[in-house]
Amino acid sequence: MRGEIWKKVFKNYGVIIFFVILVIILSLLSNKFLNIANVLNIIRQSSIIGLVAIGSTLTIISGNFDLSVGSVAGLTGVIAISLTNRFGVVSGVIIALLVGIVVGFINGFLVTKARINSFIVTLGMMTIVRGCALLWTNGYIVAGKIESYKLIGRGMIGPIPIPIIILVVFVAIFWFFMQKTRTGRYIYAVGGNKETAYLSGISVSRYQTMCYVIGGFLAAIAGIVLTSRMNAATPNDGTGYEFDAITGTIIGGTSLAGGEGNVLKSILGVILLNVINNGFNILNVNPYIQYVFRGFIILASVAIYSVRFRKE
Amino acid sequence: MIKKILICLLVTIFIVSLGVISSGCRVVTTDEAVASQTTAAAETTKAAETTAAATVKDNNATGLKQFNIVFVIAGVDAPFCAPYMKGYQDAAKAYGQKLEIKDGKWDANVVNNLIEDAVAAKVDAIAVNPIDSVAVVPAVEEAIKAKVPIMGSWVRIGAKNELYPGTFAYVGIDEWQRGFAAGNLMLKALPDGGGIVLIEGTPGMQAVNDRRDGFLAAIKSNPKIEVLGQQATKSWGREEATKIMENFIQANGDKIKGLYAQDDNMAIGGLLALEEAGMKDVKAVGIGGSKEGIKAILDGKMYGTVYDQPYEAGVLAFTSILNYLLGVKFPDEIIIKNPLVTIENASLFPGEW
Repeated sequence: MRGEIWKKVFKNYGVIIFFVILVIILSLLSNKFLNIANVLNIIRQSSIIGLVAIGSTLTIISGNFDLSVGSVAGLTGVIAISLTNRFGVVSGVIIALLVGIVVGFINGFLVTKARINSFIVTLGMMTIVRGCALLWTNGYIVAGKIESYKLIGRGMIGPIPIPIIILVVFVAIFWFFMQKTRTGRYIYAVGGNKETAYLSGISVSRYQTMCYVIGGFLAAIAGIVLTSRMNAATPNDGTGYEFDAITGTIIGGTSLAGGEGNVLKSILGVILLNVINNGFNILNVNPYIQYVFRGFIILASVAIYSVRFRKE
Repeated sequence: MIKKILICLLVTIFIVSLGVISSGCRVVTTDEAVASQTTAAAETTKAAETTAAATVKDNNATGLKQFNIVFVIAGVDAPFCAPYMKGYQDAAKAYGQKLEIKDGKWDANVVNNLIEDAVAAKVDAIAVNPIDSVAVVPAVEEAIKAKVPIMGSWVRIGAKNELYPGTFAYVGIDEWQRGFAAGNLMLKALPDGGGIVLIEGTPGMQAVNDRRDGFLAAIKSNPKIEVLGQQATKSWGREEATKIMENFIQANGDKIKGLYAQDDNMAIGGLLALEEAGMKDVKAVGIGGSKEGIKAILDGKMYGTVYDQPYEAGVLAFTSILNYLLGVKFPDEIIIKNPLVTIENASLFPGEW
């Protein structure tokens, strides 16, 4: 009985427990760590990967993978900034978002209609989209020329940076979407058991495609926030974001098998990764040791869930 | 039926997006081409280039023999690579030569495989831009054994700072000297000393170690300069550099008087964090002389940088190959100069990437 309770606690609050422990350790090691400026700093640093991670969480819940999101963020960032330079912010942002949606749709189509494994489809798409970014820029940096574009990534509303607000808004929307709407529950059902969902009359392909479209859309937003903050786009922007996002998602307790997970916890997972980076930077830990430590922490936090799985 | 509609839709989207992409690509190309060709500051290298070009032309007034030349480049997606490849391509085009550029994908093993492929294809000459000077040696040895001429480009072949025996030329830079030059800039920026922070490129890359060691060797002469922090980005990324700088500021605050970033892209990233923290007096030093870096120097935001000339380096490397193949005498070691840029002379440097 007591075992049961612990299992439940770990299952529901694993990432939170880990988070609290880490914060306590870091605040004991340095008095520079726990203060409002640094907290805002860490959350802003998490906002770009956080946006990507919302999408990753949805696709993984629906039973698929999306490895193309990092490249999508790169391409859409490049598109947004070059079109903004020429035609203004509105058209730049809208077309970038459309491109994200279209790539997501193609992913969804190939996975659900052509029935190609999602890992393969998005791996291929990752390379294609990266190639498009290289073609578009010809390999050069595209620097921003429009002042107002910088606001998205650098602006503040009161004391809160705009990227944090964007993140909070989308987390709220998609948390509500997944937990409280019928469509959201269907997505869980599709990822949990495809056959059952299909037999209950749920259109598996529709909901899985929807997740890819949302993933592409959010990757595009991440790309826009990124290039706006940097006021420049390089064709290799966003490289590796898919893995950071998926790592955060897994640390947040989303099951790779699908049907299980929570947007809010994924964001906590992403923030956890940034807390680690921030803490190591503040303590000025040797960069080589950081790699080892980061790996250990990822393994340790995921181990909590694996123990849970074995018991079940 | 739905399937058919979907397929039609997909095809249209693909075509439209291809159109958009190619049109975007064309515009950028012309812009960049003009910009990179108007480089003014490269007197030394330009002079060498023209002499090299002149010798080639004198020998072959009526059309050159066409050679098959392979250039194995470390990677193609870093901002610096584009002007470098363009230098090669423009030179190849000017002399009507066949040039194939192979992408090493930032993987030392891929670079070696590409060299081996070129050796197997019995091309006329190979230029290699290694990721790691030592790791590339086995493949270079294979080329030498098979009597396929091979040269080092930008990064040296072999652990020693000299022409690798058996290779016909080296056209490139001395990373350690560049780090040392950046260190000298920092000495000039902070005569009274103070705390500095270092932002580095991908851990384990040779360029990263050389740029760090050279820099640290230079700043040793002023013991009042203290290194407060030293952190590495995963992929020379600007956003990562911003994050690291934000964290440095959290940890050290006003004690930071100087920033050394191992390239201008990261320096610009660091400057954003400094700007947002209201620390405009911090002296930032970079390497590369990117367009944005030069602009930041002119705007008074950045102290200085060590100028890169990848386009000239590409042109020079290609002319060296041609000179070798045509049997023209030429210097087998060309070290590209790296002028120091500060606000005093920044207007002379357009930046190549």
